[in-house]
Amino acid sequence: MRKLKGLPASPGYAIGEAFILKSGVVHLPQEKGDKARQQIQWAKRRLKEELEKEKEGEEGEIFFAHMLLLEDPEIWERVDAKLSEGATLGEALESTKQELVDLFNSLEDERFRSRADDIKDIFNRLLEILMGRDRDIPQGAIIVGEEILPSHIVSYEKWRPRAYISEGGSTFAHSSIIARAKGIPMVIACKGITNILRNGERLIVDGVRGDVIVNPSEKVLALYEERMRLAKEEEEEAFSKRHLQAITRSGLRVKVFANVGNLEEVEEAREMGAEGIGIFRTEFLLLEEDKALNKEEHLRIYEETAKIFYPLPVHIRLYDIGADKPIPFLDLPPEPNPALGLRGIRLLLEKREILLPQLMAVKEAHKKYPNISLILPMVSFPWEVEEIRRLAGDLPVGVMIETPASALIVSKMTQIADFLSIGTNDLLQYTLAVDRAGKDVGKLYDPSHPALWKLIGMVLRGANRKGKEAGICGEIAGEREFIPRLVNMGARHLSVSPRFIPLVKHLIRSLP
Amino acid sequence: MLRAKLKLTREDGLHARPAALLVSLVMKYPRLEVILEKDGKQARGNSLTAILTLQGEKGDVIEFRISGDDEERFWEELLQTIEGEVIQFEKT
Repeated sequence: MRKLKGLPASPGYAIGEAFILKSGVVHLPQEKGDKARQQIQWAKRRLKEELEKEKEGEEGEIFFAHMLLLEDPEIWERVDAKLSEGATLGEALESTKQELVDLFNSLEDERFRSRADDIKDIFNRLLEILMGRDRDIPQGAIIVGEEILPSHIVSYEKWRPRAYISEGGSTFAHSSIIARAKGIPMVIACKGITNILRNGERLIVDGVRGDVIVNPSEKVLALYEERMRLAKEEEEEAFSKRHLQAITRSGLRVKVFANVGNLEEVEEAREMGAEGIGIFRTEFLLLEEDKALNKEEHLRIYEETAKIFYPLPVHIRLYDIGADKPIPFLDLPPEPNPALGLRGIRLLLEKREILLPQLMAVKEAHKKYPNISLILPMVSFPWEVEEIRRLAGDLPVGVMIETPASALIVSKMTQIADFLSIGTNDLLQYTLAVDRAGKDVGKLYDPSHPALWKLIGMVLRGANRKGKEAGICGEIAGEREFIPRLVNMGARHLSVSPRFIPLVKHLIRSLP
Repeated sequence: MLRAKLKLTREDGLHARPAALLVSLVMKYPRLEVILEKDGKQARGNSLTAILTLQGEKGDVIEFRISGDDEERFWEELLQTIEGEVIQFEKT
């Protein structure tokens, strides 16, 4: 048993077998002796699983023959003999493959000769498995990589990985956020782990503490099985009560809203017990489009959302786009400091042709569905809000508090806004002057910094004093360690990814 | 021990498909040793590569040496699987 320390990036526990992603230049596997033999057994098991599926399909007979080759003693005795002579795994496989291919090629009959292709195929697949090619990710593995990119997490979903471990990364990098949203435990900053681990090694991933336990003892395994059981029990209890309100034991109700990016998530949010849409991140509607939406397209989506949630509140956030979130059709010139540049409301006020169709659509949707309101991203000046208000008529307008400036003038903001939502991800970035995706400074992005909590406290107090609703959206609103503090400080709603809603409600109910 | 000679009568002799069927049959009998011989060349019954390299064609005669549990039951199943004309059969 061996324990490796990393940083917790997505909570939860997993027990499973390691699968190591190799990036860049692939090298033939270098293991020797028994280590190599173990690797072969593992790779054969994996290939067998794939072949089991393939032999059910078209041309299944070919794969049936491949399965027999996997069990063929003539082949594996040759490999074994080479390993005994001191060859590396890669050399043993490559040279056996070549011998057998030569043997088949030497046969007179073309129909027998052509079987050389089958030999090549299974050896190549085994080598691919051993070298960690993407398509060979086993079902239910713990995926280990030098870096885990957001696209990895999305594209690996079909293999139902139990956990992710990366050498680099930051808790607030997008891959960590996606892992949390999908409920997959993740440990990051585990230096050197891809060299320490072998494919198929048994691991425990503790996404709560940031630990990776290699080849755990029975005792530790039992401890984690118990932890997983308790977590599952809590989750099931939370899920069964997801449509009930979240009221603390002293009788305070806290609403739990959803952050969504498209209609699919709106429906998921409803199903998970959301009491409204805290933030509709409308810029996500643009990801699949090569142009801004027109008014009718906006209107259809917002009306549908409002209908699904009627009469519960739906906050449509205007596009939060800019140089930091480049949108192809906008063709914005690069800025030296995009996070401090033309983004959010600043950009929209400059580019009315993008602002107006969206704003008019929200306004029109509000006439039909009064539960709709507007919320503005990246506000730092009161006039930015006033300018939108002038165009918005009687449409309620909320303000995202995500710059220290808007937090510090909360008393002014409560005069001109109908409600506030503290976007803690950006607020923390701007308060600490730390880029949350920054390679070297990412570790300084610490949401427990007192400066952030001082600002959150100011905003919540200021809003409650004026009787304006203020809530939290941002990663910390879904985190077990921060929820009690946020509720205690007066947050009236928490807005989180749909899948966190049941647990967030459950945690609120357990508060004094 | 069971010794038998079989003349291959299938069009596809001991090509991919019948060879694979034969190997999977042998694998069903883990307590049985099966050796094939053709023109002085031997092959283990559980090795697809070895059997394929015998290059058994229609009309070739293969000698089988079978020893272990359930020899006869295996032989009967084998006849149904790869077919052929039994030209010699002895049990010792």
